Amino acid sequence: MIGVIDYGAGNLMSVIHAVEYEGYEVVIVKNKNQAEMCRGLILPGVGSYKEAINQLKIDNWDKIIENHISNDKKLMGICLGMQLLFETGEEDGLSKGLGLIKGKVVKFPKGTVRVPHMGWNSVEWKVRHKCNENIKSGIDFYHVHSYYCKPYDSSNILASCKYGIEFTTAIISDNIVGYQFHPEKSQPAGPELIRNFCEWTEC
Amino acid sequence: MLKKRVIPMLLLSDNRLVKGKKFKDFRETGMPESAIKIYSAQDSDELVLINIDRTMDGVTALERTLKVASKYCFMPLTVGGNIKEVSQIASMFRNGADKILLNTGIHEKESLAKEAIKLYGSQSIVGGLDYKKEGSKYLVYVNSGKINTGVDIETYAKKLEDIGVGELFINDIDRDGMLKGLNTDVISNIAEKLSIPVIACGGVGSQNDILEAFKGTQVSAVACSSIFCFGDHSPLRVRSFLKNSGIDVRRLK
Repeated sequence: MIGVIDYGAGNLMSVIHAVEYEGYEVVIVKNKNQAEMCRGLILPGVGSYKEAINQLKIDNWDKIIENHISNDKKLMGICLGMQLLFETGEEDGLSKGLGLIKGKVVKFPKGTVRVPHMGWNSVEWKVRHKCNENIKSGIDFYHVHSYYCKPYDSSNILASCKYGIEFTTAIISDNIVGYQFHPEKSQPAGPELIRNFCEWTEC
Repeated sequence: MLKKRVIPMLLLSDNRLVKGKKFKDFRETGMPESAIKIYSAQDSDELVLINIDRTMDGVTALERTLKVASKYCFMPLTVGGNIKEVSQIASMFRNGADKILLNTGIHEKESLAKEAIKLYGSQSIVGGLDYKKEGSKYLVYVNSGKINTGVDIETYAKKLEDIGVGELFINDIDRDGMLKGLNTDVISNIAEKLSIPVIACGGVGSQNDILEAFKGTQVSAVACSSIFCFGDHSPLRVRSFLKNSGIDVRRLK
């Protein structure tokens, strides 16, 4: 079963519908007990870094997520949900993230490009993985963000995207995958990434 | 590279889709659910759903349509129209909205946009601006084009950017539904002056009108409805036309 973490922020329904559409059972998870029943957790997110991380910590999600991963279960972060996996974010002043991926989240440099980076932009896969199986490089995915992730370790880079600069738009580690763009909003290829994640949780 | 977007705009009134001319004389164009299904099947870049009724029922109907759309529409969904409270914004996000378009709501209460931006980030709020030519000036109108704010478009657009909206949606009241082309002078000027993405709407009557806007201005997206409702155009056809004309549009597969 796939669980979508409800920590009070964001558009959960689109993610839930996309998982359902791909034929997987999905539930909204609000606490530790519900989370423990899931093989895969999805951390969505719309909103500001500081608000989101505070909310996650109030509800103990930092511990629940850490526990989930240490049991060798899978986690997918989407958009802000991917950014929260990093060590720090600078939106609304510096705040500490979940620290599951080494690196930081920074703002696009002003003046060169329109911020937010909003719309369809092509994604280049840097490595091949179960998660991006059968998805070609060069396909456009829907991005909406003003901040981007800078992983410290290049082995965490799953894909990059160009917007003024080249930045990391997908990350990977042993049992974590993250997308800066919205797979649940990027039909037709996006829902396939969600299916790949669901299949990965069964590995 | 960021691609140019073409966005079908759907106007909801009394649970039906409608389309008018110059924000008046609305004609029914069909059922929201079936239209949304078609746009989804055609892999439209985005959808904008606007409630044009000034009643609470209108907002409820918008939310109901959004709920249905988000079940099979895996594309960005923007909703707007008579949204005046943060609680309504929260409810739209919970039901599948990605962006909220605020127009009169910001004019009446700037704090509405500011609060929403604080909670959901600037990228989730689109500032709406309807304008009309008065003498030699372009002035901003609110309340579905009924009330003249007396503020010129440039000042108003800058104000919305300063408030922190993530995108600006500008609509030309005199060109709405007339199918005679976009106001490229205004679009070009506003897109140049702002550093946030600008969506232009009002007047698209052909694929060439869209092409012209992308070639001649820095606009990020064009929104249209009449050419899809009353013509034989579709997002798929428009996208291939733009691609063949040298515009960077998205690759699906």
